[in-house]
Amino acid sequence: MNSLKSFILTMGACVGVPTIVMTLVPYGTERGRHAVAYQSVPDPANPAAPPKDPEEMKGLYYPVNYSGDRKRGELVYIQEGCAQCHTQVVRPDYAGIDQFKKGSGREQEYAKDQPVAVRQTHPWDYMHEDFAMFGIRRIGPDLANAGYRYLDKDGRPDAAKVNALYQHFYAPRSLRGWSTSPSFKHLFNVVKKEKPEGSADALVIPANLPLEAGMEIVPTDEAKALVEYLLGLKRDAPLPAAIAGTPPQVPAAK
Amino acid sequence: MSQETPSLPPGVTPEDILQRAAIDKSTRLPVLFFFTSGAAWLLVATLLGLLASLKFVATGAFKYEVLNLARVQPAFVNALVYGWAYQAGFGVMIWIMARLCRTELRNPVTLIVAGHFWNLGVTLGVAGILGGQGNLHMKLLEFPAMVWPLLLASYLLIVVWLVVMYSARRPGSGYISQWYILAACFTWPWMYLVANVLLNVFKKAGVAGPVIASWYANGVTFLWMVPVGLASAYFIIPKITGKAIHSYNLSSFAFWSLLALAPWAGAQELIGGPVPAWIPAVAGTAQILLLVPMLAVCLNHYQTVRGAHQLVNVSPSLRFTFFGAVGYVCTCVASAVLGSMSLSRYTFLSFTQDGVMMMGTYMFFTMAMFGAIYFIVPRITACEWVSGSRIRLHFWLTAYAIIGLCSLLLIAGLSHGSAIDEWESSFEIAVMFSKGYLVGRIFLWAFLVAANLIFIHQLVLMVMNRGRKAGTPTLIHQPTPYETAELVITTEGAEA
Repeated sequence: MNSLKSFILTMGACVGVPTIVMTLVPYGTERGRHAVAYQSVPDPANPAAPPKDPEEMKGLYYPVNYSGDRKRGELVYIQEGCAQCHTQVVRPDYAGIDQFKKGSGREQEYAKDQPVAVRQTHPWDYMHEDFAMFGIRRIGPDLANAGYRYLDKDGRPDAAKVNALYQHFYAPRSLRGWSTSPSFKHLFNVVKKEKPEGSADALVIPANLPLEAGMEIVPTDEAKALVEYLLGLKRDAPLPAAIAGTPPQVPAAK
Repeated sequence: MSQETPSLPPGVTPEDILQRAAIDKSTRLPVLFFFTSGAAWLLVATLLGLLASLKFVATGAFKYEVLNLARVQPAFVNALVYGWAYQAGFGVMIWIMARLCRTELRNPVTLIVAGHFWNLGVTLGVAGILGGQGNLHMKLLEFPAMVWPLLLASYLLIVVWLVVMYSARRPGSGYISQWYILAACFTWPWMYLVANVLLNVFKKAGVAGPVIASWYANGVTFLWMVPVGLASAYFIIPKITGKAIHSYNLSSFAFWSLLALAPWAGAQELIGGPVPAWIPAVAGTAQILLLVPMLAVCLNHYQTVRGAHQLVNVSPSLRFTFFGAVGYVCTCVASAVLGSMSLSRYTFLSFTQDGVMMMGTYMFFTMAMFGAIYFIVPRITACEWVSGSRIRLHFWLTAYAIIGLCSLLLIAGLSHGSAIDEWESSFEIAVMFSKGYLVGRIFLWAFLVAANLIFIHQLVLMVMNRGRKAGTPTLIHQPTPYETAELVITTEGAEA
């Protein structure tokens, strides 16, 4: 192979084909992905086929895009390096037990003896993200369905649990002594109390967190956006039958 | 490619000596520039690595926003790869290419200017990560988006002269190392361009994002570090042992099979992730098949060195290169094994990935670059390394530290992952499982810092022209009479 030209051409073929197959094809697939409607009415092309999705999903689409604070929170999540240690992936049962771990989905009080599998994550769940937030390492707990961890019984954000989330950012070890999470104190301002009862945003801190008298810890906009993003992490909506193919099935108990 | 250049000519003529001296003189400035600035980044990277491993355990240490663990960790990885590995690689590529093409380097100034821009890019990138502007969710693409055009342009400005040199080479001079260097010239900018255009310009990649990032990160190891490291090994082993490469066909086969297989691999680390299942399957298969070129390279090197193994005790270059070759084997085997379905259950995105990254970047590539630097610098500075015992110390500190570090990370990842894979275990147990290994990691990082301080001190002495002026090469051990006989052959032949 004395000719530089033929060397470059051969090498171009060696690297070019896999580039197309391993990057451009998956990328094109994702760009072509679109939100899918839940079909609770008979398919007009095939009226004989029964409707597949539950009636109450009629008129809804999956997935729904998000914006505002959740989108800004995603940027904070990226720039603060949360993805360095936290994943957002629920693997199927052949690859791990993510689907059955406590806390990996919504609270399952109703099924203590018979755990219900959390749905595995699916490419559609990440459709609206510039870069699916799989994360680089799973050193901290998985956050695919983190939004469920801060809800009360009625499904609304629980003030005490959300406060604990802020406290995790501010001083992780004050909450869990074994945590290896770094502290994100720079997402908070320690300011003088303007009113004796303190501002509405301020953290409720436990006794083991030292704080000067008359001061309070107020989260910045970045911290609030980050919490908004985390509260929105629920990657377990039922897949439309058009994607899933079959009606959602409850897997056999463990 | 009809001839094997390093097969020794019957006698080296005085013209050859003069020509080599002229080539060495022409490459002196850019090569030393890349080695010294690379070494400075190596120090920065090892200090950041030490800090990151410290902060994993002593979580309260250095409570500054810019030194947050989640920023120090990616800053360390990127400083190590783009600051040190690439720049050491540039120096080695330039010098080996000039020597093998038997042409003097015509544009040392352009290379140095491009090198300054590369350094500017890395500095901006690391500062951006520490300042909270990085893309910290993309593996090895963590630099802020503004940096990539600068890095790409300065890379092209550097390697274009290598391609020019190759096309203007003396007729008949074609050698496997040149192929590997040429491959590295083209593959990295291509992968970097594709990954950045898709992820930083067009965006909206969804689950293709991690696929592309894994493909790129694996490519950095297998399509850049492996070619450059092997180019150096293919050059140094025949030079030190005074023998021609065992088999031309085998080296050609290993080269093309590496190039044909490596661009498919990478995404196997996403097994079980929400990506189309064929992607990790294809990537994992390619990663296992990459064992074939590795075995071909090993066989070739083994046959070349056969009968001269005792030289590993004598020559610093050969010893580091030999260790690097072992690191290459470990990297290939670990990458192939960890891409398997049954293990990925426990190693999915865990410390093991860091272990394999350190294997490829440090145990293989950095050690191979040390070997090349110990070979090249005396030839371009016209003085010898100050002390063989310090080279020995540098070797053993690095060897112990990196073997320990990689093993600890692999074991930590496995135990952490298998604790997560228990039905009843809480996350606290997983953290506890890996903590002991992470404490050990701090000490090994301290070893690495010490080793690199020794190396940098030696290198600075050489650059300041304060090395030994005596004509004999600095050796790790004094050779036995038998080995001396071998060395006479090599110094009179290829090493001159």
